[in-house]
Amino acid sequence: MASEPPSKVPTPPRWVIDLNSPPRPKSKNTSFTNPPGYPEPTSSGKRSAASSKVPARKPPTTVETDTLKLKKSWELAIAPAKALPMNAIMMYMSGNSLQIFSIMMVFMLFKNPIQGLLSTNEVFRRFETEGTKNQLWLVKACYVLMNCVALALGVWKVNGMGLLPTTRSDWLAWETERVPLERAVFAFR
Amino acid sequence: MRLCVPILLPSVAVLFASISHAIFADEAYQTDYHIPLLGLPQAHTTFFHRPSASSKASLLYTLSDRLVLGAVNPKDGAVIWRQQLAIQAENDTASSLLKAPEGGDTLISAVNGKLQTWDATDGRLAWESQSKGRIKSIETVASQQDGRDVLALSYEGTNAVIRRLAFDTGDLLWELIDASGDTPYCLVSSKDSVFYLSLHSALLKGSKIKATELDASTGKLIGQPTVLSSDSEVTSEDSILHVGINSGVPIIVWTDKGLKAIKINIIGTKQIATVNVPSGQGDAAEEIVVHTSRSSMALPHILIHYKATNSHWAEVYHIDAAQGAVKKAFDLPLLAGKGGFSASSQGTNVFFTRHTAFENILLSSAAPNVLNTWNLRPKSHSGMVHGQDIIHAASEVISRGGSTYAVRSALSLLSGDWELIRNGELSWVRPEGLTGVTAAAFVDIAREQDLASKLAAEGLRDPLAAYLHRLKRHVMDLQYLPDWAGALPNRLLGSFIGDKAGIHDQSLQRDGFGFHKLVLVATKRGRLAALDAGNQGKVIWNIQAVALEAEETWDVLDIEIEEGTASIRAKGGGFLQVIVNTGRILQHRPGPMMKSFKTSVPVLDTSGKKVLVPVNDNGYLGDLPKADFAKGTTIVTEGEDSVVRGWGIIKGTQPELVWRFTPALGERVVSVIARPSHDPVASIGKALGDRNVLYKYLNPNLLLISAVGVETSTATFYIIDATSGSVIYSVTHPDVDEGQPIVSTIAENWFAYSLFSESMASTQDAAQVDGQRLKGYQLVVSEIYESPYANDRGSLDSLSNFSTVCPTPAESDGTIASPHVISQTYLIPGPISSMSVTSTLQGITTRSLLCVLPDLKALISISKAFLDPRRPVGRDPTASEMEEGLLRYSPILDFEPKWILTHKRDIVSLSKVITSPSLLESTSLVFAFGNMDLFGSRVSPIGAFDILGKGFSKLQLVLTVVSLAVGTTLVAPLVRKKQIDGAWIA
Repeated sequence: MASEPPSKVPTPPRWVIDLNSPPRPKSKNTSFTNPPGYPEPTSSGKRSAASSKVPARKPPTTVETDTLKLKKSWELAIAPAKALPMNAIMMYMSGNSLQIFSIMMVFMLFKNPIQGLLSTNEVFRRFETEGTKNQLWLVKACYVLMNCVALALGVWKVNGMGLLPTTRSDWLAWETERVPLERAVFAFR
Repeated sequence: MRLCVPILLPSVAVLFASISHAIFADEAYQTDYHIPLLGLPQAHTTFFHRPSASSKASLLYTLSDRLVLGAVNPKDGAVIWRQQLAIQAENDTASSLLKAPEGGDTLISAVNGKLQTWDATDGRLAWESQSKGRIKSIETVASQQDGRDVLALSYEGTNAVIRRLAFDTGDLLWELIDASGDTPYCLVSSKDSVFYLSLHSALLKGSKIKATELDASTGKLIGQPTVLSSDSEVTSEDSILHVGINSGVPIIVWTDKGLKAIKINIIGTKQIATVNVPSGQGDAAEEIVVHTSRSSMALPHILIHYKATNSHWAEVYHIDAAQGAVKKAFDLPLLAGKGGFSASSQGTNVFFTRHTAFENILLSSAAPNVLNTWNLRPKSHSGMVHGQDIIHAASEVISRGGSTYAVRSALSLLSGDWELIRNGELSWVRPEGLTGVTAAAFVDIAREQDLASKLAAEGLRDPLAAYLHRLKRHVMDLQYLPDWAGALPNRLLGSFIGDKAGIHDQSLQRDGFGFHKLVLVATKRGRLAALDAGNQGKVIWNIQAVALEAEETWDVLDIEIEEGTASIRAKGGGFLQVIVNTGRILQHRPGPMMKSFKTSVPVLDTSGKKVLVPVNDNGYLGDLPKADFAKGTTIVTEGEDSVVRGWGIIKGTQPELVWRFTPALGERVVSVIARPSHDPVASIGKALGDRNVLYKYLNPNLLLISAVGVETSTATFYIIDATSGSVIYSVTHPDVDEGQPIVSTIAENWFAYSLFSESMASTQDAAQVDGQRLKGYQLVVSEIYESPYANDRGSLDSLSNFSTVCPTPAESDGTIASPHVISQTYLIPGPISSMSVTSTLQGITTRSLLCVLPDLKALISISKAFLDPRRPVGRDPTASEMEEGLLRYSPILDFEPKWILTHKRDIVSLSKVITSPSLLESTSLVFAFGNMDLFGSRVSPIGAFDILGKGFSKLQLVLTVVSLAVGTTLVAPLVRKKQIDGAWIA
């Protein structure tokens, strides 16, 4: 090894070369102009510069945002009710037999409203401002009501499937046989 | 969660039934067993015989004491065919004769007055002829065509009638009436003449033997009768020991009453040879039997067999036909014990075989030297206590050239076993003594005594000591580990590839499913045997439980099982206690000699101890033993006077008559039955399709009494509360044929009965069958509910106990409606002679009705789901009714072949069926018995839902899992590589 002349240093692997000499970034300031209508992709830093050129939109007032937020929250509150007709049709179609599909659907039917109820405050937190605070309780109440209606649909379905212990036969197992006070011994055969 | 089991199960049953109407051939005969019996073979009707001239092998034929004619394959003891010639009535001494003409292919049997000929190969009836009197003798003579006509001697009134019947059709060829007043005895035909032997009653006492020659072609008497004996010699027919023919020499042998001398005569001559009966080393002969070959070609050599109490000996005589001389050839020495002799022939040579308990000795009739001796097993196969004594034997000797002989002998033993010994080796045993079973019971195989006591000991100690004891026991159990581990590969292999039916556990061990139980059977003749229900009904032990006089029978009323022991109570108060596993008698107490005493019933006192209360035949109780009985205990008895009585034990030793049930005027009680002792109820109500509940009327004290009015042709069924005696329900059927079987059963909250009637019961709705009259065999199923309305628990509502003796005020007012009964009637194709119900461990499974069909000779299991009296009538079931599994009612119930538990077999004379739960809830064990056959099976009324079926392949399951595992491990690296590659390329 020592005898080898230092001039014979092996050429580094290609990846090293690639790493050391990355392709030159395309220069932004080429002589080609962009075609008309093509917005030049710019970094965020440059954007503010670009936007500053456009006359700034007038920021919405608090009243406006509050109305908007309230509108949005109403939409959210009504959402469970919108799904109701679809759910009802699905439940009706799936039948009352105990099968894996109907069981899964019934499970979902219960899971969604319960989850919704538990996270009522979280759902509306982002709409909560000083201005909407007073009106939001109505929205929340509506939301809870709608979820309850969805739950009621689930209960209706479960009842249809015969899973609610509402009838006498459901409690039959807990009823015991009457014990006779007298016993007869049979001396024939 | 609703209780859907009661709803689901019937629908499962309906589904199962509607899929197929039969079962596959490989499903049959797996769990069921049938012991076809013939009855005890009789000495004069048991022989080896070739079924036809062309056949090489001979069959073993017998006409038994039960009047069953059968052919048994001597190789394996299987019944090839059998025919019941007559139903034997009680204490009927029928005469039976069986003759097999040599070289022919028919058998001729005569039972009482009926003469029948049978095809010897397949047992088909050729023809039969009925005479007015008892047939005393049958004989054959050569016919003009190729065959042998039948001569029959019958005793009709005071006349003896001899008839010649054509061999092929049974047509009468001629008839000879002997009106001389002699008692006919026998016919014997030699080559060219026929002799008619009769007993001419002498002036003072006894009778004379008269021999008259007949012309066989015309039926005329030839010449004068020869009188053979002096006045006082022959006292009865029993004095004549033998009439037979060998080498054309007809021989008669008789003796006097005191067995002093034997007289031998060649019929047709006047010469009488007298032989003095030798005494055998001080023993006097008590019975003399003459053995000769059945073949007419064989040499006229006779063996006279002398039986004493504890020994036997014999002499052989040669008869010289030309000189009419009788010459003693040799003696056979006296041997201890009861032995048997049998004669057989090959060509003209006659062989005698001597059978003792320990050896078979083959002799030639010509010389006294022994040809061969075979030692038999020192102890019998089944380890019986006694019964080595041989009653009679039949044998067949085949000379293999030179000095080698093959001998097979069918020995009829005192134990009732019929066994075949082939060259000293036991080939098979048939338990023919097990006919006439009167009672049977399922018995759990007793656990080893020490284990049971150890477990009991652990229960009593304090927890720590019990734990240490248990630890010690398990350490001790480790000694069995090597054996267990050694057997493990075989067991694993067997469970994977071997079929379960092929492996039978030979040891007497309980199994995990509760299928391995014993069945104790008690017969009229005083025998008690244990059959292995888990092993095709193999006889485990068979003992003579009680010694009986000739005409006595042993009527077992009840077999009660306690851990490891069986207590058997017989009519007359006899009591016997045996160990179940071995048949060892622990205790035997014959009944008191009081005629009226019937039995005693065990009654629990307040401390839970069993106290025996004596019951008399007339339905009254004897004096009560001193014990503290629980208040309100009522003992129900059935008297011979058609009165059912309820006895209250109130105080003192005198029972008090609490109630008395007398059926309506002109009726007599046919049967009284109560709910089975093991009758658990899983659900106290019936869940309807709309999820309401109909509450069952559950009362463990229910009695079902069936009564028949002979003159009015009615049958009435009463449901009675046994503590108060009040009638809960009754129904009367008009136009009943009381000659047909009327059987009933009761379980849970329902009862069923069957009868033959021309119309329906008046209480039932006639519209349900569209106005048709139900004439025929009917099956009526009724259910009892607390109330006709759903969700109504009757007057007592949710009370936790009830009393019928002291009812609540509302009940005693009579304002409360009685339980509600719903019935439905079905027309069934044939009579039912016995009815019972399956029983399962917890009563969750729907019951099945087990019916014995005497017409089909079968046992059938009808699921209760089909017999629900709530089936909708005249309309299709609604959706909720369909959910309950209710089908539309149809008045005709056809027995589906699938229901028949006995499959293709003919099971003769079944009279009773017993059931026992297994450890699997789905399955009930069934055993049927009667005068002849024994049959056992397992029944799953709604399918075996808790055990893997035969279609489940463990091998397939394991292979699937293994292949999946292998596939996953193989594919995993490939998938991983692909995922990494994908990440790079992306």
